[in-house]
Amino acid sequence: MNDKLPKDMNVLIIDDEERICVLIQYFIEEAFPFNSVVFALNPQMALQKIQNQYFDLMIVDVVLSGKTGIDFIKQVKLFPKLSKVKFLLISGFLEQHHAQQAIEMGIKDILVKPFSRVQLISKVSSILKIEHEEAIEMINNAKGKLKS
Amino acid sequence: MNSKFLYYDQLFSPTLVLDDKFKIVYFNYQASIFFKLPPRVLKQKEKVKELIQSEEFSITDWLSSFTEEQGTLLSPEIGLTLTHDQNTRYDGVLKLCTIQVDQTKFMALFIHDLSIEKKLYNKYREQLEELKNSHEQVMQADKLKTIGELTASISHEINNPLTIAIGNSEIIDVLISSPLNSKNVSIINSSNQVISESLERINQIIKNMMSFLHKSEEDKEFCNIESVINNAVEWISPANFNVTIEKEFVTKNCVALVNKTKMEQVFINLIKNSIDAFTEAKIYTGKLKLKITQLDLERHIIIDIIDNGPGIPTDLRENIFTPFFTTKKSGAGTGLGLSICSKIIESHHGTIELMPTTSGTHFRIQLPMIEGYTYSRNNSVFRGQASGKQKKILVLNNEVEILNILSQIFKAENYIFIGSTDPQHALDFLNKADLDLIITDYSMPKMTGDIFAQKCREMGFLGPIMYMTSAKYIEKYNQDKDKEHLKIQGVIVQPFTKEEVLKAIKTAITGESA
Repeated sequence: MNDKLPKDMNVLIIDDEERICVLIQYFIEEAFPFNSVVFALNPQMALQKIQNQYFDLMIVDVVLSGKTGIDFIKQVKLFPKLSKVKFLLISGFLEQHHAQQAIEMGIKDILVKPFSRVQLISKVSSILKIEHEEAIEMINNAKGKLKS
Repeated sequence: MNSKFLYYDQLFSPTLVLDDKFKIVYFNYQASIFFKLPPRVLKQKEKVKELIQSEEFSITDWLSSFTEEQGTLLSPEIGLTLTHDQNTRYDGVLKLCTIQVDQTKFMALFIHDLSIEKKLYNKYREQLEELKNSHEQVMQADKLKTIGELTASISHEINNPLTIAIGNSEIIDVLISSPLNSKNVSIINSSNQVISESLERINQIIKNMMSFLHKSEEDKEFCNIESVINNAVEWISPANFNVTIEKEFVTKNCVALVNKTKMEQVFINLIKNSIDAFTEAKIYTGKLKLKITQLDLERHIIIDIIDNGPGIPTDLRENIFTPFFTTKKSGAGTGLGLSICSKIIESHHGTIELMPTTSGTHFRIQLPMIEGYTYSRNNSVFRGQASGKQKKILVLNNEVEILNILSQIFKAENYIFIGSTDPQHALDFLNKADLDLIITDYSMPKMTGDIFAQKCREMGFLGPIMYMTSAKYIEKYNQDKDKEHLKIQGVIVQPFTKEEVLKAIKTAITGESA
């Protein structure tokens, strides 16, 4: 999916805690030159935003009031136009059945709270295959540790 | 040995007869068995103190005090040991009566050995304590289970503010090494603020958990049932994703004497059961209603917990309060929740029942408005001597805090405290118990103190009535105290100290002029 440049990409964040949405938005906007980074506080709001805009990446909290984040993702995947959308799950507490469902749906990227800024950036980086120097540095550090 | 006392040989009690010099002139067969001495040895003992002694009681002093008395003297219950055998302790009572034989005065000393009864009583107390401990452990286990089941949601609750705090701290990290323009400074300031708030949030969550686990089981206090329900709903909210909880407080300010933590436990249990039922049936739009009503004529607060969920199958309904009965899969539920709830409600002299419904689930809890059960005339016989000596005081005041403060003061002084916020209920209660004193607030919304006092008198209450009031209404006391139909014996002025209250009460009860 490297045809698209970051400046044409859009990211959607869905978490019922507004401060967390704002935080993630701040970090991503600061690290990447995306077209837009927006957030929604619940699945209904998110669905509305999806009507108006295409998102390349959706960062979804596993636990949202009313539905689980995973049910929301299942809904999104039903739209053919959105089949190429990438997902990043974030979770306050990862329960077994959540992890299982995620794997069954082919989502392998999960961030567990509390996560650091660098962890977030690396994940976004790797999912959208965008290079980011800090991400590279983190990977190199990890490799370095492995070698020694 | 004096043959005149031979008929004492028929008695089961070990008996000694003493002359006026406290010398033993006769003993019966049981006495020689009790003292474990053959008769010829026993004959040689001259004084009682050569035979028995007691650590907590001087037998010779007691005997000496008797010389002027007539009739029968009963000692307190004491521990006795035999002089020649210190290893065995008897628990008993000594009884002494004067007898006159041929113009000579003698004293018969009977020993009532209560050792067996005492042992049984101690055993009974021990087992009661054990039972109480087991019960406490079960209650604690239930609490731990509740917290355990909520681990996921508690973690989630803590991880959110933690993420925010860490994230904002990283923002500050980045900005501090950047040029310090006013925009950055303002972001740093707001991030700092956010970090403080997030950490305080975490602190609060942990505090709530700790207080839920460790709060004492014993204390009952007057509290507002609405606040108990609100707390329970808030407590369970992190685990609630699929149920809309509606609160309908038809009657406001329902106050009852309850143990807050235990009552919260009851509501948390019931709400959680409802949420679990919805989750298992995969319903994400469930509704649960919590309703408080109190009908004027009823002496109960009625709390209804109604949901529109799958309901409980009719064939299982009669078993739900049985311990260890559960329909959840092994490991998911212990089946103790509802049985514990029903025990808690019982200990508050209330009832909990599953109402018949064709759909959904409806629990109804009833709690007494005024906790007077323990002190009503009918029950006093079980309290035995205790209620005879303790003074029963009824306090009528619509402020819950005052009831709680007075309740604490009275407990320390061994007065029995009966509190109420409702004049009508207090009046209904007058018939049920022999009250020694009534203290009424003067300015109450439903009825002023003087009207209440008048009604008490009309109902035939002859004991002392006192006002409790702020300095503003002290004039009312001065006006009313001499009124024949009221007979107000005293006044407690707010704010009051503990000493002032106790002094005023003592004066009123003993009948001295104020």
